[in-house]
Amino acid sequence: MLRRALKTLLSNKATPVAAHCDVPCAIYDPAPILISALTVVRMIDIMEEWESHKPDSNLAYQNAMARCVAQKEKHAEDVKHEVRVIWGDYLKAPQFEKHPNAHELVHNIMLTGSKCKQGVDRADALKLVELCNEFAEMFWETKGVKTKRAECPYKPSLETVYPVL
Amino acid sequence: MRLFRVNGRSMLPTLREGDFVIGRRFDAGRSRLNTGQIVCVQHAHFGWMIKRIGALAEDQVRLDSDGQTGSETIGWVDAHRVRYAAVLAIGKRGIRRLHQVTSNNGRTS
Repeated sequence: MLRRALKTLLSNKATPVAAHCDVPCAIYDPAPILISALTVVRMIDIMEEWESHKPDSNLAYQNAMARCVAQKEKHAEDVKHEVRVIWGDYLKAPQFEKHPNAHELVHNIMLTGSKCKQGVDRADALKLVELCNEFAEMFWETKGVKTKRAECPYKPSLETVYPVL
Repeated sequence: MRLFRVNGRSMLPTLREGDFVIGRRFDAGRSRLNTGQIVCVQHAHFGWMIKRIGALAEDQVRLDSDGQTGSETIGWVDAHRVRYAAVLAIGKRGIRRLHQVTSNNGRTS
């Protein structure tokens, strides 16, 4: 068998055979990243609103805060997860050659996402949105799709990257 | 015989990305599919895939990954889609025979 195998090795071209962890659906889109990043800002805004208008019921206040913190935590983690998927599964050597700052950008998103989980500084959340905008622009550029920046039509009404399809 | 090159990591630790695999063609009606075999499948939608047979039904096989994810999403395919039995792996770890295992946790020896 070894002889036949070696003959095969020498005479044939190898057929690529997929051993993917998921169905290779090839569906990648940075939209969830941006929605999650905007949600982080929104959660901080809502917390600040509650803080400046504390209700009579301390229990209601604590409940609202807990819910906001939980959502802020979840969406900041969602940003990190979704970015990692595109970075790890979609981006390949040709894209990295074209976008040599991709690794640094992704790393900055990881660090800023963590900062948003740890604290309630709106500046960190705004930075996260901007980094995610840059990531979305880079992603769509690799697809040959033009993008535009427009204010998202809902609170926190921040500039967001959208594909022009 | 046919030579395949592994893309992806779902068959870790048995097969690594970039490993070469020698496949022995199944003869329709003569070769027998067995649970635990690593096989190369020409999937109707996803093209060539390499997976382990996790279970057999009448005319179908369930494709499993050796890694932690993947089997549920690939699931059952028609048995005639199984074209080659993976018999030999060639990679950085040398040349290895790919043996059939009796459970998905057993991996190859």
